[in-house]
Amino acid sequence: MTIMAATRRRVADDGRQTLSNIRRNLSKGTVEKLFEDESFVFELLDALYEEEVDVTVKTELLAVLEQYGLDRLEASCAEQVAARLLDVLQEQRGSSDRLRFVVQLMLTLTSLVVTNDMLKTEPCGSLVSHLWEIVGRVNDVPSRRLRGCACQCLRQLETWSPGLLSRYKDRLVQAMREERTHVFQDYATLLSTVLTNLSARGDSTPADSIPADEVVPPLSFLMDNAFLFTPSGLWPVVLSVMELVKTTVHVAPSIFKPLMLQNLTSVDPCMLHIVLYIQKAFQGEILTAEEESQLLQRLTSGVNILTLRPAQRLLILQWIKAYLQQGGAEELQEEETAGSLQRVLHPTVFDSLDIHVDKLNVLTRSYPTDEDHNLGEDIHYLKRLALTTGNDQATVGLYRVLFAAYTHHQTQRVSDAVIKITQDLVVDYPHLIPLILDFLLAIKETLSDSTVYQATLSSLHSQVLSARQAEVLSHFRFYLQVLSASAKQPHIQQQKTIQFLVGLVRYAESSGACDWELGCAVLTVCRNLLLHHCSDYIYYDLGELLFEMQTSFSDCDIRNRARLLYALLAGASDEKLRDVLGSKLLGGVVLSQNITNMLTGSSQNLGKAEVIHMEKTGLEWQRVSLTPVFSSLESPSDLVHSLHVTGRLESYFQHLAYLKAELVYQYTLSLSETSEYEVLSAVSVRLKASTETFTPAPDIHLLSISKLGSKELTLRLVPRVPQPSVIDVQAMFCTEDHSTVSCLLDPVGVTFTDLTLTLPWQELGVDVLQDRHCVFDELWAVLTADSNHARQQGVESVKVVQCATDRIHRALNAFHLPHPSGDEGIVDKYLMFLPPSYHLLLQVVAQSNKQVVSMATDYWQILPCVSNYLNTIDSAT
Amino acid sequence: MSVRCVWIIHLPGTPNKAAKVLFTRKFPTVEKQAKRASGEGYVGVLPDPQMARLLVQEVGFGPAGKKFVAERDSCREILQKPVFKIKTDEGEIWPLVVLQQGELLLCCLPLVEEQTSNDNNLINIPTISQGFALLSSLAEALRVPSQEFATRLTEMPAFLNEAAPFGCVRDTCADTVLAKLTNRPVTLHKTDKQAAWKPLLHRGKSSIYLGITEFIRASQCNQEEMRDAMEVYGSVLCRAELEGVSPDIILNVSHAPDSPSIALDQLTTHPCVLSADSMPLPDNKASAGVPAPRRIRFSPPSENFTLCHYSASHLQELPIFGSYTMKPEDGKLQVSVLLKLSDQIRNTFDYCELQIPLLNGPPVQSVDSSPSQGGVTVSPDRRIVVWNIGQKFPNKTLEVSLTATVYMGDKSKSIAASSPEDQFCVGLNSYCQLYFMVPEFTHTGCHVDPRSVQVSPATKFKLTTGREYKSNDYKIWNSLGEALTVKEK
Repeated sequence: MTIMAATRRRVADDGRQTLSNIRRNLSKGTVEKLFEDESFVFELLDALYEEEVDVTVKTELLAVLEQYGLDRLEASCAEQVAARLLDVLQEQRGSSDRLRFVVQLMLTLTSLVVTNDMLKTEPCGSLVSHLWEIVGRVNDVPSRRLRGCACQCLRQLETWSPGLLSRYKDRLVQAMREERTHVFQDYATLLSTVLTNLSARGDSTPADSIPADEVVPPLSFLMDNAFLFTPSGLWPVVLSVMELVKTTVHVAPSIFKPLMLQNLTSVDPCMLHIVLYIQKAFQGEILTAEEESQLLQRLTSGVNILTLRPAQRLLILQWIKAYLQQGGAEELQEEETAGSLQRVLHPTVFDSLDIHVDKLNVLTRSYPTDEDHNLGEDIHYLKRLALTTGNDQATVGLYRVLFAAYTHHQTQRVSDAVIKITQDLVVDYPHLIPLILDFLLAIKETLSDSTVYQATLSSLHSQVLSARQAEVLSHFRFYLQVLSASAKQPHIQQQKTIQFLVGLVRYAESSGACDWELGCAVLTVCRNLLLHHCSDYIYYDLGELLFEMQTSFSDCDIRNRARLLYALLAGASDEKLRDVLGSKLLGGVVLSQNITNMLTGSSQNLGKAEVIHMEKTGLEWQRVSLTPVFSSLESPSDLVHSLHVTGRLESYFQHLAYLKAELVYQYTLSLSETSEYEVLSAVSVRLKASTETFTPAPDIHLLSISKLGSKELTLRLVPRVPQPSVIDVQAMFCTEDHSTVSCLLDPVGVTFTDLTLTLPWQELGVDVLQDRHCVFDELWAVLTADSNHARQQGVESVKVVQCATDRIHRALNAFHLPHPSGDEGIVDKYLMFLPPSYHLLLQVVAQSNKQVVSMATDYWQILPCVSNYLNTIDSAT
Repeated sequence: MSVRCVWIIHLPGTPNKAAKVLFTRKFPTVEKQAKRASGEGYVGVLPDPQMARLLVQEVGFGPAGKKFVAERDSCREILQKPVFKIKTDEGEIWPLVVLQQGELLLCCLPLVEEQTSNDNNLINIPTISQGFALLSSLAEALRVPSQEFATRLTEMPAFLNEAAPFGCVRDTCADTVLAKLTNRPVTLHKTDKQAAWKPLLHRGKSSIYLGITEFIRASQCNQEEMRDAMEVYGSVLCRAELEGVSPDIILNVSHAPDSPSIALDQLTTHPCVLSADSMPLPDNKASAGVPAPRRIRFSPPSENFTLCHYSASHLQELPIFGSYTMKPEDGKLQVSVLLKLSDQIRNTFDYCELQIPLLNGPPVQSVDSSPSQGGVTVSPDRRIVVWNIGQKFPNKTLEVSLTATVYMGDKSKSIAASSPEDQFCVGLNSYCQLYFMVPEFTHTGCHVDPRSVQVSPATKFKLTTGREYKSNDYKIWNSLGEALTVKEK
């Protein structure tokens, strides 16, 4: 007994293990592979015979066999499987406590017969007999579920083998009439399928050869009892009856009228769809015009039944679209119908985004074509949402509506709305550019008239070119898409685009942002320029850009591609260029010999050039002059430090925020007579300024320099803080023997006196002398105030200088503030500007032969330099 | 006339997790039909993990799914929600009907038997509504407490074998399908047939429950250039336990004598309704005295069902008029709310609560408030200020008010709202939301007249009726900011 129990347990475990294995494979998506082994199938079938295997396990095994195993069986195997399943069915069909298992068994067996084309085999015949035996137990309450399932199985067999059950028709009609349980629906559905197949039997059978008394009574009975069907269960009956209506002359479409009228007010999705489907199939033959209008009215008001699921409301909207598309559109020509539709379909503030957008799409199409309607009001909600949040979903919805609006109403008002909205969105949300470009492309592809496409793209193009470089660089992935798209438009002038890109690349290099992605984006624009514009007009500018890219980017892929385009630009005709760069070569096709021949230099990759470092090369440079340059920025500089000020100083500091101060040094570079080189070419001069003290300065490049003459170079330094420093300078150049040499030049010394500049009063909006004094006094007060709560904003100090008044005055004359009245006062005021935005204020009071210098500054680190400077005045006396 | 496949997918709770297929059901006979119908254009269904991933992406679930994807969101793509398509290497899988319920994504692929290549007309595909109804019934069946979910999921194979054998949908009422699975015995009538939607017959005492749930939505702007928006709608729920195969019930939906009388626009009814006064109300009858009752005759199923839906667009006055101001000031918000109850509304609430969502920005640190009644708290996630007003407005004034200073927390813990409508609430743009329920009341005055209820064949029955009036999306916008509204036609 113990052995038997152990065996039973083992068998049960085997079954569960098989199931676990199946579930594991199901989760990985590999369960079909299990059925490639026939023995697995039979192992599964063996489990069905075992009493020890739980019935839920057996049911699940059958379900898996049905879904994943049946179409992998060989023909012979399928017959064996069918035979074994029939055995099990024979055994189990009387088990009232295993209904789920038997139902699954019947479904699996029927699926096996159908999928393996066994409809004309003996197993199919046996199956039909089994099923018919079950079906024949009319009104047997305990076997309702089995009988319903058997009806469905027979219906499947009849569908795949029309006429299979024709000999059972009369018995089926009788069963349907007599059946009083809810399974009546399954009998009715089976009968309708049999009747439909009978009427469609063979091409040679005339449509009216089916006797009326074979068709009309059962059909009438079905339709009279339509109320007993579930909505979804009614569908197959309706379709069968529709087929019979079309193929016989005995039944008119009006057989559907009671059903349609009764369900005009229904909100059930199947019932509503049935009514629409019948109406579409028999338009004008069943419902009167008034009834059809009622149907449309019910359909549209169904969208606003707020107790329905949003998904169902969306589905109703799809049906409205489909209904209007298929011919209901004529109705819209009637003003009353269109007006009613517009009232009902106008979105409310409570509609979800999906419903809102879909309603507007339908609404837009309901207005007469090419007529101006108030688009602005319709899209108000979406527009506010998109402009305030920059949300992708909201903007997608907005542009879908604009697309629908423009494709139906190509009016100026719609066009203007598109341009205005696009301009507003791009300013704040550049990440929406891909979406906007997609919209424009859709317009272009859909409509032959691409006015709005060109106008909007031109507007976007201008917007990008006028944006700050820092902004464009931070979102280059988006902004450069606009330039790439506009580069394809021959009517948009591109010189400014290229100049802009040159500036962008240089800015990127100074910011250390020349990476592969940026390079690819810029090169894409260049490629489009070459493909769509005559090279004559863009030759020099584009050449400069490509050259810049070869030098600014360290990524060799970018440099190579830039070099390729440069070579094509310089060496190939426009036709050849377009042929080479055309779409056939996209995707990294290997370049042919001809193309590589166009590239300058050797195609052999010999490795990097060696850079020779030399102490002395004969390259000399000398400072000529320093000129401070002030300019206005379009947006506040991030180098400006601000003080907590009130009153007049607020305006002063507002102006200061937009001020850019540069130290422009003029140097001459020359090759000394004693140098071993006659000519140096490709000379680059690099300033190695600390990024804490100065913003990165761009390298300076010269084509060549010789002993015959010197070159003037301009160095532009933008201080971050007014800290005197010494900047190393490195030069790199190519010699006559093609060696690459680098050396250090004399460093650039940025001294205290370099950093003390006369305040640009006019640029800061302070013109009148009186006001300048006010600024000085208020600034002095702020810098010398002793605040307990906030951080002290300035530092005050005093130094005594032993010198005469005129001596110090001469030294500091450039910074002197003359007295307003013209008379000399007791206190002399001097105000020095320390770029980028700091101040050094001095008040000098003469005391016998001494000058008491009080100083205040918002950059305390400069004080030692001030002291040293004043000492030089002192010692010079 | 079948569906090819059904999926039940669990949506990931966090962005770095993948969606998981909880249940799949394929129908090989339907798949064979699809191959035959499509010929060389046949596109097979993908394995479950791939299917789940692509579906979730297509539906746009999760933060990444909300970003613009050209393949899905392009203007050139035809939008047919809740019908979607998935692009695979072999072609497109279409039409996929999708329904979301909480964390579940239910999807089915109806069979399209005959279709020309460019015809996307959804009316021409009968299985669309069948598939949708099937998913609705699955969603209903899975709407169980979380501890019962796993058990209910194991019943899905049997459920689908009953609801859609061979993928042929035959019953999409979850309660009916579950009742059929029990196979409980019934006593057949001598002549009458049982409806397919009423598999079990009631034995025992007869009773009828009729309940009306009415909702109000509102958006109040308190701005001259924008009109307030409001919608009232409701449904009549019924549960009839009556003996017999197909008893008939007749009743009137009319207006209670002690309530305001706002005419119902029209009725939309359940398929069990045999006849009804459901026509749309002509405009000239909207305000003409007490509206006429609407008579409904129906043969009820055994389970709870919604007898009819209605709306009422002729509402003149809001039940609770409110004004709300919110002003940010140096890391805190000054809030002021005034609510006035209309004298047409019954002054008894099951609950009445005002919530101020602050979903954009830092969490709420603390609130100093002085409500005229009730108490103010902060939600556990520190994102919503909650004023529990109580169950009654003061009888004399029918007004309540709140002033509060909301102190915001650390800005580094700021988060951005997920929905675009909540993302709109930046700066002065803000709203508060009112939640209330009034028992035994409807704003329209709509009720089921107990004296009108008749059953045929005549029988004694216990009648229970009930009404409730609830808010749903009842917003009051900050009068100092911008409100998200539509411009009325």
